[in-house]
Amino acid sequence: MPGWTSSIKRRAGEMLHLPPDAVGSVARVTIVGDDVTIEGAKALLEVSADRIACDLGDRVVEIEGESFVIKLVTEREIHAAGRVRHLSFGGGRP
Amino acid sequence: MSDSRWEWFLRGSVTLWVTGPGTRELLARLQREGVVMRDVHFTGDGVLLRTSVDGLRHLMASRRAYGVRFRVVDRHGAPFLGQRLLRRKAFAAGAVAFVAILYTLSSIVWRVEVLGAEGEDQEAELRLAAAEAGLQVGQWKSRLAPPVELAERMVARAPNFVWVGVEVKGSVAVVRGIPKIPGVPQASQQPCNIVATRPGVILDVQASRGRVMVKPHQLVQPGQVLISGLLTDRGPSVPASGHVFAEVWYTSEVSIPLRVSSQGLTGTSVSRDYLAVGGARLRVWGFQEAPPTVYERDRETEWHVGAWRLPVQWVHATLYEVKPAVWQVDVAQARDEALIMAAADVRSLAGGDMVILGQSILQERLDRGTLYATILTRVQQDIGAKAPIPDVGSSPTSQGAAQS
Repeated sequence: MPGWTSSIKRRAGEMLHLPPDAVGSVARVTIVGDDVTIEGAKALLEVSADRIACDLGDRVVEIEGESFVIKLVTEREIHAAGRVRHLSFGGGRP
Repeated sequence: MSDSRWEWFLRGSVTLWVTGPGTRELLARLQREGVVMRDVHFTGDGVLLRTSVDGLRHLMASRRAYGVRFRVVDRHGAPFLGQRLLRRKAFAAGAVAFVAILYTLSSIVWRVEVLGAEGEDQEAELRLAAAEAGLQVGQWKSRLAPPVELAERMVARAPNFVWVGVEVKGSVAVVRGIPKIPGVPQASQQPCNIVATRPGVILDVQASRGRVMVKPHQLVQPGQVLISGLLTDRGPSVPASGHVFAEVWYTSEVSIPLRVSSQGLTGTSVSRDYLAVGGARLRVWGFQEAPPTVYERDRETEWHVGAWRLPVQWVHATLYEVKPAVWQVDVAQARDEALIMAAADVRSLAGGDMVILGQSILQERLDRGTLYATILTRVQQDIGAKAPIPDVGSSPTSQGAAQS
């Protein structure tokens, strides 16, 4: 049962008032201006100049926009820059 | 995971131009394999990306499966830099030679700076001492003795210096010296007498060496021997020394006006500001009415453009009110003042230590509002001065001027 350790972690985080991404393996999608940062990504599904799709484990984030430039791709993080038009979260992994 | 920039530089990275139908799927695959990519640009028919040399191996392994072709556009990092340097041997040798020459030149003393020497002679002395101690221009710094030892050697060779310090700052050696202060000349061992410099009545004789020739209450004349250096008439002679205190009389002529008029500032002031253009002044600020009599003090700016003084300057003037004051002195006050002035006069005449024994007014005359007085001041002072022993046979009480 994978929820066992994660629920303890979540409880501890709630007690200590920690942000959830500091404790568990929760994804975080940050968009500041034209900078897009996806942390805790499981897999990069699709990437192109106008579309980035990324598996976050329990859902898929799809970012649509224009002239994306990927600054950095690592196993856990994706940093991109570009004008974001549309952001959507899809269901589980297809 | 090699994703710090420094690691990327050390291991080397490449900028790739990737084309082919499966490029985007390949990128997703590489991400899942943990390959770090940077600066991914999507263009019409391909992708420009930067990845490490390790990433390149992954790409090579899976390019067939995705039907992708790639071309290396640019290489970055240490391994490629090293290769390039190996190819340009002369350049690499030049760089190494530059560093080596710079290092060699910086380990030579290029300048010896001398501080603290007064005059060219002392500086030359210090330089010579430094050269003899092994500190000179062109010397290897590694061959120099430690500064403390250098300083010791130099101070032994420079007799006119009381202390020498050596400090090596880069390629400059700073030598700091403190010159000896010429000492007080030793008292002359030449036999001499102590003679009177002024007429006076002896009060006290304190001889530390020599034969006392006078007694208290005796009147002496200038040049008279007070303490003789001749111990016996034909015997050994010594440099006489000691103090001879005598009462000396001075007369001073003093005149004191009884009516004194002066001008004094009252403390009120008015200020004005002017713009001075050439010779003319334009009043800009301060239109208060000035007191009838004033003392004016101006403060002018010094506006310059380079060395050229501008013809336009700002002048701040302060007008202080002045009031004349007159005060009358009565004769008794004038007399007191005359005594004080006479004492000051005597103090400058006597020169050296003295004690005023008493003052008396010999004569006074009041004429047209001014008190004229002749004042006698009696002073106790040392009247002795050294003088050479005259040849045996000449008069011991010869008259002559002596330096006090």
